[in-house]
Amino acid sequence: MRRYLSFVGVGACAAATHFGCAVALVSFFAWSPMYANVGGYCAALLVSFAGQSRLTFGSTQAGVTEFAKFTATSLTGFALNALAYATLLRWTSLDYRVALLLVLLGVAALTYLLMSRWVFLQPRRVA
Amino acid sequence: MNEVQASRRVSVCVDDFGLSRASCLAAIELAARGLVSAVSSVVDGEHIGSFASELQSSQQTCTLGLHLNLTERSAFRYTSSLRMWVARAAVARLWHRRLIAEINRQLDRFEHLYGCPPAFVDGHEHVHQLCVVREPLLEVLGWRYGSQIALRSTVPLERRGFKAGIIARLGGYALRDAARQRHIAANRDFAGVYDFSTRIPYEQHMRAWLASIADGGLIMCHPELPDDESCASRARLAEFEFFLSPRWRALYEEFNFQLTPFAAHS
Repeated sequence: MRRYLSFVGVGACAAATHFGCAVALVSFFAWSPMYANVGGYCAALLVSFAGQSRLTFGSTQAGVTEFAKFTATSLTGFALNALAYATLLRWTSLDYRVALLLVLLGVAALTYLLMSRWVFLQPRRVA
Repeated sequence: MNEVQASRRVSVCVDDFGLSRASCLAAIELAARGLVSAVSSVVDGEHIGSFASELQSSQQTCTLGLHLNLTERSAFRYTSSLRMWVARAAVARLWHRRLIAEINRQLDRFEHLYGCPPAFVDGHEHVHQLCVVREPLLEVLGWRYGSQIALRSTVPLERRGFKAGIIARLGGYALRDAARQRHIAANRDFAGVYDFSTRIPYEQHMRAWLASIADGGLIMCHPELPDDESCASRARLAEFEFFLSPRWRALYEEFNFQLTPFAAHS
């Protein structure tokens, strides 16, 4: 349970970082909102990686390989989000808010699985 | 020799035209009666479209200027608080290109509304003088109009209170000096700053300003007409009532000044 809570907490912190950085880049550094979104995403990716690797999955040796896998998971999650949302909107009569909630929950669950089974998978120690 | 001292030329400028219905109605009425000599317009103001043509008919006695707005209800995507604009001075170069575009847009909109360039430019919350805005503004004005239009300087020649001092120090001196270097006209003295409270009657403020203001000086004001649709502050209502009263006209003679439109060649 603690791991799930940590996963959600780090995700929330990353979202706040994404938002805060994007707003700061636009309002203080005169970036265009489109580019600022990318800047915010990059900052959030770092926060998310640090948090999920250390706090959620207790990986003390996360390095470049893990970060590459993490980024791939994150980008896949984003692509899947867009695709699944478009599909639900096009092929079902679900309210857009319900559809978005389903997609967010589904993608979060999938991301969690990918992180625990692939990105931060620790080799089993033989006693 | 019985020499009569020549009267001082003083401009009285109504700010915020367009921001509220009450400010539009007040400016139109005061300008039509020749009780003020300049009106400064917020070109993205909610009410400007409905009232610009009415104000235009007062142009013989009153000059019209652009009240550059970057802080309140502007169409500019990067509109933000005055504090944020002050902080942006740290990265002023990053804002240069965006501000050039925005200042041009507001000037274009002004010309579209009134069919002529502004006679002067000033800034809502004096944003025009801030480090980050000043340079792009001077550049744009130079390209578009040379030295044909005037700029508002917020520098008082005498001490006129703490708030007036702070405003002048937030880029007022730098703007005045930069305008001089570029041969752009500006008012020689500035007054009209107070705390927008009615603790001291507006007439008392005006008397103090008129007693000390130099020839070529400008007094800004923010009158609003009592109106059911807008909720004007008590201070703004008091300003409107004062300008409309005979007490205001009586001061012309008492303080020996002449109400003069604010422009580059006034």
